[in-house]
Amino acid sequence: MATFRTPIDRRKFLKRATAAGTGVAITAAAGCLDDGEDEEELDDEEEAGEPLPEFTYFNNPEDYNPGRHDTINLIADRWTDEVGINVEVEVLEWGTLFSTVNDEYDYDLATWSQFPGVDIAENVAERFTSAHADEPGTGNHMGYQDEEMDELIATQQRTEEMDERVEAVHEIQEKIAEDVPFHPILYEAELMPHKNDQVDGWVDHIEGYNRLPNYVNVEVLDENEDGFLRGFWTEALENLNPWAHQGLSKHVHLMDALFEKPIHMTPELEVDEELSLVDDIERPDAETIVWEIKEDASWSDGEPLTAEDVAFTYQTIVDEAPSQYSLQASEVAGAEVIDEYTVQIDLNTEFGLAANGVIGHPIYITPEHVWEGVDLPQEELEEEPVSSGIVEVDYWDPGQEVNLVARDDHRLDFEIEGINWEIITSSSTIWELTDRGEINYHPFAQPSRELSEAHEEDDTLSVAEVEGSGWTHLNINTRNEGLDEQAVRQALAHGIPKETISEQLYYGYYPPGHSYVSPSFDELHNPDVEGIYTGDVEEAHETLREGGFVITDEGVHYAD
Amino acid sequence: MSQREGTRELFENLEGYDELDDVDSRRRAIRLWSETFSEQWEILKEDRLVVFGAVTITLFSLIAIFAPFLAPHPPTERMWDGGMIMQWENPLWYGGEGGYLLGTTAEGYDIFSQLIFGSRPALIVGLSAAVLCAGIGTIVALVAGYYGGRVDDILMRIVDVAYGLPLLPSVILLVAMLGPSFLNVILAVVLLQWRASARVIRSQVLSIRERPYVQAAKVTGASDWRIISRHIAPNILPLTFLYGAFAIATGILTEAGVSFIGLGDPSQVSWGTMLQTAHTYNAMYHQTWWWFIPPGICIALVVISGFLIGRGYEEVTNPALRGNN
Amino acid sequence: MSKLNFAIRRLFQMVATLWVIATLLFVMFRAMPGDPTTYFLSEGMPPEARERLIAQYGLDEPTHVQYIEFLRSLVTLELGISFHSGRDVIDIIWLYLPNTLVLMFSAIIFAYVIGIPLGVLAAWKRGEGTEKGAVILALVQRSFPEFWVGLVVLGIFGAWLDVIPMSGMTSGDHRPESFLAMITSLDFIWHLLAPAAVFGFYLMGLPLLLMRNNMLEVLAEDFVDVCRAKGLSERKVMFKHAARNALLPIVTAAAIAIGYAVGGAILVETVFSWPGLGREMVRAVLRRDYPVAQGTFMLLATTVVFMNFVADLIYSWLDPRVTYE
Repeated sequence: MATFRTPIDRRKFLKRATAAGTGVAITAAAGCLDDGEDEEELDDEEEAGEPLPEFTYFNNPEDYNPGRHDTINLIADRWTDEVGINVEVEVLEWGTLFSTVNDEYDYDLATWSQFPGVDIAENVAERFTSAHADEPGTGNHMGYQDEEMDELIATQQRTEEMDERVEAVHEIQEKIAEDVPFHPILYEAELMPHKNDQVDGWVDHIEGYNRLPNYVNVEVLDENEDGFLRGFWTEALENLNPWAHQGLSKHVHLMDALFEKPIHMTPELEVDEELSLVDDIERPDAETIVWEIKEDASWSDGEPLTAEDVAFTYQTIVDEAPSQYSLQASEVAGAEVIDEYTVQIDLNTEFGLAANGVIGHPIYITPEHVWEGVDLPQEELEEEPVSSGIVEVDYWDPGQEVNLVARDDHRLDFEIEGINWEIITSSSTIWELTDRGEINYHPFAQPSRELSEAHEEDDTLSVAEVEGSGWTHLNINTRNEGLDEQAVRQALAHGIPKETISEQLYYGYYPPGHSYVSPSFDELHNPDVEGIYTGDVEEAHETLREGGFVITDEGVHYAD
Repeated sequence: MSQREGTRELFENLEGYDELDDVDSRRRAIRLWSETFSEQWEILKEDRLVVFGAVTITLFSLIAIFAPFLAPHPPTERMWDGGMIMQWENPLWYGGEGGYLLGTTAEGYDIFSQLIFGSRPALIVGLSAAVLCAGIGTIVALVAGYYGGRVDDILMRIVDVAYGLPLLPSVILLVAMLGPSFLNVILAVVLLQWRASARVIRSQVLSIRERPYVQAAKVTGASDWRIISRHIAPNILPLTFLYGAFAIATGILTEAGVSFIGLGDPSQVSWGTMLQTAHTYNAMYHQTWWWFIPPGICIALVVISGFLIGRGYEEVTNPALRGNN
Repeated sequence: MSKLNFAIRRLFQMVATLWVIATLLFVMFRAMPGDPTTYFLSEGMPPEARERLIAQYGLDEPTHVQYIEFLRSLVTLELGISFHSGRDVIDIIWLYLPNTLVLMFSAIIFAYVIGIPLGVLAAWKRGEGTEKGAVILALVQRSFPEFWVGLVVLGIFGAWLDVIPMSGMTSGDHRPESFLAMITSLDFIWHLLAPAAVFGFYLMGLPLLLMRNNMLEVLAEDFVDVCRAKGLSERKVMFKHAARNALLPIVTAAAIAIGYAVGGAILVETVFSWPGLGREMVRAVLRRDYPVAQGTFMLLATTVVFMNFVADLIYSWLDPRVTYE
């Protein structure tokens, strides 16, 4: 375990927060630690002007995500008590929280987790394009507007040269680190707790362990009697309709086993030639993609999977614009069949290297002979979809379990005989069943005391870990008074006790985050951005002073 | 609860007071009411269980009032040891460090302090639900029962509607829509629970209304207000207390249930939110029962005290229930 | 007035009550602060989808048209489509209601089969320790939050002793052919045991106390003395003659209890991960899936109102003393 010690030095102004009305209560238990020793000089009150306004920090309910809930409380305490920036925590139901931030752009500070996927092109454009700041619901809730950034975003999407892309993406990371409209708190590692006497051979992949590259690579061991991956989900599945997965992990984890995708990526983030449905990619120009697809793919009802199905899928995305494919709906102009196994996708804007990750990778191909003529396919309830992936649906009871069995005639080779999930809402039950070996893998894993203890004590439990693409991150609404100051935003980032959060609230499983592009993206990640913001309160104060702010025992003020 | 006939007519013998002049009337009213209370208390205090209930509630009220002086820490102040949060610390009698009587939570809060401060919302919800439910129910019952006719019809149909609403689902719906806060939990409980006292007390009022001394007062031209406050209200008072005491229980249990489901007030520590947090962090699975058992016991103690007091009043109102008679 | 007339009048009253509840629900969802459509539409929905749903639910129509449409949908049971899963609300109800009913009836039977004899016993041993013990037991049963009892039971018998399953209705490898086959399987009964016992434990307090109180009232009546004078054994007097007469209010109370228990099972369902209707309603409320929340809530309220109606009918049919003026 890494050593962390940011000394806790509570200042006088901290007492205000807890002392009110409590005669005997010890107000600053934590303050006793190094009282007075490296007490920092405070500024003269006479220089102080208006105080910085109080900010509201949205938090999700505790039971929705306890680790994150506690993280937000801890950060808010730190900002208020030690940095001197007053922050009040407001708990909102998750759906309300997200829509207030994303659909209304009406917030100060908010934190959640997000996974940009195998290519950041989609996420970076959504979040940081200047035009999106003016139109609520389009992604730039931070209100970040910067012409240089717009150009960098366009360059990294358009270029065919890896070097040029790396340079642009590195610069994007530096700008985000300096301007801080967004700041990663932790990199969210992908975790796969599993019974090492039943299944093994997990492949470290930026997408995590619940995708096709793992399903075809895991080995079935002796203790696993029926060869199934046996997992769980913590709430009922809603739908097995590939048009309606809404990006929810519980659905996407299964979709990846149920449906072919044009493009799969290797752990090195190159096109996986074996797993991808696409056999050959041609780019006549930057706005056209021609795919030749494999000839041995088939549907579970016996029909062959052809270019017709691929073209149908993309054309439906354009026509119906289901929300999960909204980016593709706006970037794709149309699709046409060239011959039985060749399809052409026309784009609205120029795409270079990013096309594989953004246009090809996220799409599940659907059978034309099933979906043809269906209006609004995303609103259908699909209980037993005709599948093209390595498994098909055997049995599904929404509130109880789902059982997918392997398709023996599938074009890919793999060992598992199927995937079974039970719906289990209580995590103690999950760990009981894991202990007994009735569950052999965890499609849903969050750092917790249960995980950390089982990891240590149960010899048959291993945890595969890899840094993923995502982060638990801070969003700052740069439109609001006070938060429009770069120095304030930097001070907030300086004040986040990342080490404590990582070590204690996430039991060491998620490392401290630093850059918008996580290290798992290899060369796209900019190592220079690491280590700028480390939770040092004094640096926060220095930044504020350099930015012209005055710090008194009342907190942070504008200069008079 | 079945309707109660034959309640003792506590005030029949006080009939003559009506003829006295108004100057004395207030003093007499006070005496009349205090006699009622003391007479009831005489009956109640013979029952050791009632005394136990009253003592327990008083004790918890004192704890709630003096919480800041009794609790070693504020309820949501994190405990630190050097640069480390003191998470999951064992109680001091169980090898824990830092001297925490009941250890610390997963977030590093002192469990004992949370338990002390948790008494506040519990009692606020319980007592305000009690006062408001019993108060509103009694007023509705007096109006409906005394005036009868159309007023009675309308009020009783409203009671019927309130009886058609399942308690917990309705509270959950209301709180989810109005936003999770204690005020809204109280509001929701009151909106639903005044129904019981209203229906039962009304039937009592109906029977008292027909008694000779009330009729006599009417004949002598006493005002409605006078008749209600002098002759009817004191007689139904034990029932009001009975339902008030039961509403303490409903209020506290509902708050705990709603918190457990995740609709508790996130800004305050209550026994209900403590249980929810302990459940979220799987305290039972980790066998840290000192986090999980005490809030449940505290809830049960306050609730059972409400029931015991209520039961005492039930026996005041219905002597057939009293033992050895 | 004949019993038939009474039943018809009660039926109309029931329909009227349901209408008022439905209207309240309609008003509640629309009178909340902010744009009413935000409560109807799922979060983060793209604008086009939102507009389509607004049209689909008729939210762009004038209020009175919406209201009539709302009532029509309730009567025809076309309750709409879940925002969350795209399923028909009525399908969701059919999916979860049977599970709740099985749990609820098992719990009620458990509660009454044990509660009633205990109540008789308490009345018989009036004034003795047995009575006090039984009464306190009943109060304790209603004082501990049922979800807390459930978690303690799970912790002790599930996690620690490992004699009961931790959650759900069936084991993973059980795949029943039909609902009937499922609920008659040993595996199901094994899963049912703990939740039904915990819920039944909570429900038992009512029949116990009610039986005791009724018995005490019945015992004061003349015919009991007649029985005794005939030289019947005390046991026979108690259990055969007195108990039979005291049972009537229990039957009606049980009918009412059934109505409320369907919604009251929420917490037990949540603790034991029982896929029931109450739990589904809570989840729908939490994720703002309003068609489901509205539909399930209306069903729970209808059950309550209907069982109250049934209780009245039973009472009127069985009790020879009830007359109708």
